[in-house]
Amino acid sequence: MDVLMNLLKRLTLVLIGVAASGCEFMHPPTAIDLGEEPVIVHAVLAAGSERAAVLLTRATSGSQPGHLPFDNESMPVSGAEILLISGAETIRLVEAPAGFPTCFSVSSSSYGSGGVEPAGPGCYAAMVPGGVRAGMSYRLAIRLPEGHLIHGEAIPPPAPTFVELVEPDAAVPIGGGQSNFGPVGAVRVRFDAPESVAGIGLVISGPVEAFRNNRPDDRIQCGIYAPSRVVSVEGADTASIPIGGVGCSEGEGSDRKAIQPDSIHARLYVTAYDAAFMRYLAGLQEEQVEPQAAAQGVSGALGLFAGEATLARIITLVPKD
Amino acid sequence: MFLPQATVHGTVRAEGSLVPIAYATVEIPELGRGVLTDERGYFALPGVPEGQWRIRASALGYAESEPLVEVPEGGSVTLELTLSTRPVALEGITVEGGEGRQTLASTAGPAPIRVDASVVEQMPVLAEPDVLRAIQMLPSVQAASDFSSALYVRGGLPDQNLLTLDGAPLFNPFHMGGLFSAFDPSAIESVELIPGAFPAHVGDRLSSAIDIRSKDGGRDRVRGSGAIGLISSRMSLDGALPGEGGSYLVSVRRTYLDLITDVAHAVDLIPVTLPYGFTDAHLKLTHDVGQLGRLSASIYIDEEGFNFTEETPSGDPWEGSGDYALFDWGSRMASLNYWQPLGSSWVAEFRAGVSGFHGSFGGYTYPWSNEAQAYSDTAEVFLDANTTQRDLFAAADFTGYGQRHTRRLGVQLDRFLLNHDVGVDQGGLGDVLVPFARLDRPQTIAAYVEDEWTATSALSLRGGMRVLSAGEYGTEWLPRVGIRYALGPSLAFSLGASRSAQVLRSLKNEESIWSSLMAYDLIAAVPLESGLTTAEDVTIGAEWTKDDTSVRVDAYQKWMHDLPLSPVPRDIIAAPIFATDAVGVGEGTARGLEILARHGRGRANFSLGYAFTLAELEAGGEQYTPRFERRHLLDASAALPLGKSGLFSARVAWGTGQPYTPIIGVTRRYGYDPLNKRFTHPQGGYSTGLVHGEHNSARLPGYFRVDVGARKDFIRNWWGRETTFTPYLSVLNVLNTPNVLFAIPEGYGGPTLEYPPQIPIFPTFGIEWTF
Repeated sequence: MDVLMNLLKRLTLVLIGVAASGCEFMHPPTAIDLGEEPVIVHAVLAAGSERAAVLLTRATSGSQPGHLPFDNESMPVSGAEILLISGAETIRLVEAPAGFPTCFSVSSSSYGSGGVEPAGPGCYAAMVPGGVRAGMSYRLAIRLPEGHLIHGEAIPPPAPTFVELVEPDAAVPIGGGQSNFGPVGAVRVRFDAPESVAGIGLVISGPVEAFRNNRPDDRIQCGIYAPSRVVSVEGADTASIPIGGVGCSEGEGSDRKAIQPDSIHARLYVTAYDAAFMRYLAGLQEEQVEPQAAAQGVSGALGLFAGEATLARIITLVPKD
Repeated sequence: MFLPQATVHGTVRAEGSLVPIAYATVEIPELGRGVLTDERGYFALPGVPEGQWRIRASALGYAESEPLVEVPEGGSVTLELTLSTRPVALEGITVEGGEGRQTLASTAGPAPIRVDASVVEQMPVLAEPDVLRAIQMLPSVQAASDFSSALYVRGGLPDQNLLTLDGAPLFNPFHMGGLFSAFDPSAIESVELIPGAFPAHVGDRLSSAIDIRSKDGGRDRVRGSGAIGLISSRMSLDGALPGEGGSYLVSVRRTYLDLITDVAHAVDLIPVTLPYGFTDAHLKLTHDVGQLGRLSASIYIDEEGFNFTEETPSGDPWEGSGDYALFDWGSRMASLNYWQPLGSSWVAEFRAGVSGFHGSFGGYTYPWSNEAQAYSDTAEVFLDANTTQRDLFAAADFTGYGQRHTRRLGVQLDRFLLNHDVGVDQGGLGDVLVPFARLDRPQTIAAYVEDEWTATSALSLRGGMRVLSAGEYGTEWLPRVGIRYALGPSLAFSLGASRSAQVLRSLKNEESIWSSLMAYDLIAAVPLESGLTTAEDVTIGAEWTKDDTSVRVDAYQKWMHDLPLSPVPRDIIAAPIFATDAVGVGEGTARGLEILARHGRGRANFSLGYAFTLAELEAGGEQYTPRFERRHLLDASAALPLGKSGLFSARVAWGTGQPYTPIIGVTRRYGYDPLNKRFTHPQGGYSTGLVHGEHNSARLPGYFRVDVGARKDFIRNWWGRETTFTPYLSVLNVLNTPNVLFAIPEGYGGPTLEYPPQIPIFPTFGIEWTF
């Protein structure tokens, strides 16, 4: 399809082919000099949550030719001093505190699942007395072991004040197994977001309760395939989340068989995100990013310091004809 | 006491051919008065007292003529001075005005820079002798890359250059994407560049005026010249028109690159063929009107094509893609020029014509059918782009020559049609070429008045006003001034300042890497909201000339306003080539220092150019150095005798690396799980991102290139006529220095930067002949 590209390629190939066949004619590649590998902060304050956590890492620039060393796992940054300040209240976050869950999970690709791994190196957390409050300004102050200072500021938004399903009983493919990911249904939500909310995230997750003959039946086990979605609220008051399908089965082991219940109940999580989070999200698809896009809500480092608030509702899904 | 005075005017011509000699010196030694002829060989010496005077005419390469002329009490004396050829090789870049003489071309202020045709032919060439490449060697001019002959003058962009052929504007006179220009060098007499401090009669672009003058045909016999080069052949003929007082020049050039690449591909020398062709032709007719008047007509055509029309799906033109293409584009110009002295002190020039660029780009694909395991019989269009750029122009200029004052006034009308319609399947070309349609029809009228005053034999001053009115795009008043002071016969200082405006702008994104590979501009009108683009510039200079050595130093500062700039791209490869709606209006500044020195000795000549440039653009609050800018640029060239009839030439160019946007960091980006309040791998995205620094805040490795060439004349006498054959060989980048075009992270991910190359060692050979 790309005649233009082909034309340019051909012109270049002809020139180089005629004049330089057999010649080494390239300036040798040079290592990208990143200087000191930058520290990356990741923290999202969730309104209503009693915990606050900060993930502190460095991305390794690597030095092995032929690999993509920039894609190596992040290196945790230990030994930092981290304070979360709101008004007169200052909370000191502790690295890898006992009893706290991990800040980052590599094993989970779908939200809300996965086991509870303990916090590890580079994961700093603390309890927030009274919980994180929406609309309150929180400042983040980080002193690295070598003395470098990082600052951040975030104001967690309030949760959407009103959420209703546009179609209260969404019809989605509900069948045996996970085979019917084809034509999808969708759950559409109307929201009323305060001004400080820049985006709305939707997640449908378990636990799923199946109904047969108008009664809950805990012998039926169901899973939902519904990729999460985050949309900008600019000019919009509704958002929808597609549902690829619901797979239900009954029984154990070799007796397990697919079954279609009358309906199911699942949980819909509606999350309000602030502007810093939405800008961060927008840059996520880019291979090359601007410094401003790579540092949202923080200064002195790359990464993200943002706020969110999540509201949960139970929704009913019925089989689609 | 009032003494009766007369005007001595006329034309200086070459003996035999009667071709006018431009920039010849005509002087009356006893009065200490002298002028240079203009590009038509015309001179005027007003205020000559009654009596008998020796009028001395001289020019490089010609023997002097010194007739005794009887000047009457009043009125005028018309002379036709003919100079016989006296081969004195003193060739090279000529800087005029260094001897403190009044010239018919405006000299109060920094003088124009001229490049003789001989320089174009002597210097090492890339495939073809090229007039625009010769201009690129001047310190006022920079190139975006080895691949492009587009001109970036004093920090300005190519759409800010007014490029004219015999006074008529041209659009996109390039071949092969801009690898070289579409001018047959054998038809060119000289090129004049005004890189700033414009006189009032020059307009309307912000950065430069480049006037290419074609040769006049000889009037005594038929002359011819031609060449067989690496990728094309050319032929030109000139001679007298039937009857007396007229001449013609016709030149034609045609490539055979397609045939060569076919053969090279067939023997596995190169991996692909190139079904591309170009032709250019130029016809110029000149005829005297009365004793001094002249009427001339020029027709210029260049055509290019990229053509797969005879291929079918079974022919598999793109080796498995099922695509084919039909591209046609080129420039055309037709102009009429009438030049006539009015009495003894005024000269009028009228010109009118039409100039344009057209392009039609069709891309088709035969979709592959999995069911049939074959390409479909029905083609689908994935590219349908058409462009028309046209300028219908008419102008009148009047020049009055007084003893101390030269007055100019004139008017020019331009009616533009700028129509672009690009339909493209985004799936195939990504974001590089985006669909758009745009039609602009700006009309402008420009008028000017100017006076150049020779206050003393050492001091001349120029002041003028130009006004450009472009209807709804606005009207701008454009003052122009210049001063020149000669401190003795060898040294002169100059100062010039001008304000300029333009209604046209290119849609091309100059920060896209494709702009370094493609010189063509799609011209549109400036945005209505911002109106005309304007600039002010100041140039201060010094010129020193002694014997065969001249040195010229210019320092300049330029401010540009309301520049329509494309959005600054983060990825210069994926950025759209043409920015349409998303255009921002910005500002620009450029300042620099230029030194141009030349020395000639016998048949040898040397030139040295150095430029220090600081260019900066600002759009949307972001300031950046434009991609083409080289902070320091040194260009040295020499032509040395090689035996009795040969010539060896060499050129060394050294420059600071061009700017690029560095990678300053790498970051990890995560998805966020609002249920568990923890970070995860992003869904469907990249977890690693390369963090850019400020746009163009780093420099690529420096640039260094050595070109060499050699040519030798062999003279034969065939059929009673002397014919000269000149085989030539040029090797560009003879050291095969790996200059870099841009930098890109390896595989878009790092950890190294790779550097796609500029032109490697490139030999060119051919043979020229003249008779």
